[in-house]
Amino acid sequence: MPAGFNFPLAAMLAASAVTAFADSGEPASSQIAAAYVSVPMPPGFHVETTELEGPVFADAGGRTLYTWPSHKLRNGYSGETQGNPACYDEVLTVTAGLMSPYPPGILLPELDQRPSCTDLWPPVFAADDAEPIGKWTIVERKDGTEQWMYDEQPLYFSVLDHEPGDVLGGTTRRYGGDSPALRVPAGPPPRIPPGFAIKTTTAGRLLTTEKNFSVYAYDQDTPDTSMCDSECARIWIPATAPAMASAQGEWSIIERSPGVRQWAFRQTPLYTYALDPQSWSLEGSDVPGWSNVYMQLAPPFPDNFTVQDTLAGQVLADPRGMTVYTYVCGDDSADQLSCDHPNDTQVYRFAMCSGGDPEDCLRHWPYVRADDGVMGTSRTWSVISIDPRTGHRAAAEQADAVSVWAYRDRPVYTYGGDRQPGDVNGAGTGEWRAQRNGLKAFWLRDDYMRGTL
Amino acid sequence: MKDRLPRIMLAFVVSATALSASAVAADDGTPVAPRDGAIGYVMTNLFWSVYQTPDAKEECPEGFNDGPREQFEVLFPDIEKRTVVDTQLQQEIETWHPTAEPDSLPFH
Repeated sequence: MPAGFNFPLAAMLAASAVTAFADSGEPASSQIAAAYVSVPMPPGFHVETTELEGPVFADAGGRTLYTWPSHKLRNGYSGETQGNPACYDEVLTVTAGLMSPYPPGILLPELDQRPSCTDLWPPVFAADDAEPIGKWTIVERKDGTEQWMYDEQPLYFSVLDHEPGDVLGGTTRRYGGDSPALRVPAGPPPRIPPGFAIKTTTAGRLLTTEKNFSVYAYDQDTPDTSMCDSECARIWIPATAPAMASAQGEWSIIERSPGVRQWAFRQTPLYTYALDPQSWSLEGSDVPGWSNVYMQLAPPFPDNFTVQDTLAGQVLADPRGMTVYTYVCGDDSADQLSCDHPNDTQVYRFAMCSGGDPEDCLRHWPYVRADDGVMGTSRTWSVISIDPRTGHRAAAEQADAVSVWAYRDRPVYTYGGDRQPGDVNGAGTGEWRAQRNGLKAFWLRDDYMRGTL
Repeated sequence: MKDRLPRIMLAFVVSATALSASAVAADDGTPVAPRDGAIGYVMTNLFWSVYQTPDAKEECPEGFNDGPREQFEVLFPDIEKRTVVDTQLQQEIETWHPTAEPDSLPFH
């Protein structure tokens, strides 16, 4: 049985600095601030801390900035190449035919209500007297307006974000080739030594090597001593630091033996696991005493939710133990607009969940209801009011509205075809195995998908 | 299917390794004949090859089946007048919510 989500040491590692700062009266955000490289920014912009994505760029009002990187799809590319804004105020009416076997030129649904790209993704305009600085540059759009870019990617806001720290429009999660060209929050690089990387996962921001192998910590180690002897180190490979490396911030170096230096993060020596079968594996955390290392843990899920073991890893489950699913959707327009939020058209979801019948949809894929009076537990996990017939947000005082749990402002579901805890029979239901229009199990630890959203 | 098999020339190569007779031995190490004269084999490889005749008429006298793109063109010749809901999503619904109704397109 995988023990993946029981990572007390990982939790301690991720939380230790929060505790330290709390004790000293400094805000927890100081921990995040210490975790990224300070880069020059134009006046009016700053770095905002977020629950799932860590530090991101934001404007003076705290609105998160996004890029739309080019993404290869089956019949071509979508998104933006460097220096070329492609999101405008034209309302597109037909499909782009990027997803074979479906051709271009099919009328998009609900055209009378369809937004333009910039309705959902307002460009981050540059003032007339704005000056480039560092990786921040300015591009002239085809309508003559000027737009900020970061690292040559044009910047946008998301209309889904309402408060500083919201990152509801996109994610840095890894996504597959059949996924829509997603929007990605822009932010400063993490403060990590060369050879390491940070990966956004459901459980948190995971520390890995630059080749995507998990990094581990051992609960017998002390801040300056590794208890993993030479025999142990044949399997648990110390993350060695070069001779010229020096401690910085939360990163320190211990000397295992004369001349052999090992990286430590938050005062815990780091290792990789020689028996991990492939990159993205978390199997080392199944060994007692060993844990994955997180730069930042994701917010806890609602109190009465549970964790269930399945044949393919661990999933989040409702209070009855039934697997929780998220719905993912992006349309086949050149804009790649999302269709997985209650504000979006629901025709795609109804097609997948019930063949188009909203009533059947409620039976096949019921919402995870929130108990009366229960409030959201974080910005990530909220309780929203839904009109069950339309799938949109309910009107104020609507009599038949239902209160449901939402992850990143989108409802979560269970599957009518799951019979017992641990079933994931609904995972991958929908177009291109749910990469584009369908339902995915809420993996807390995936042993096979290698971190893909 | 039975009469079609001879026309589909299949190269079926089985690499079989006989369990070594020397592995069948009495407790004292003396080689003995296999029980009932049976010999055990282990299949180690299986190779299939399909050869197509020049016009494919011999093995597929009714022609090839359409692929999904061709089927889509047959089903929806007027896509410029149609919406995603009654074309693409309808196709996906047939995949994810199938019925017992026969498929409208021929299958050879």
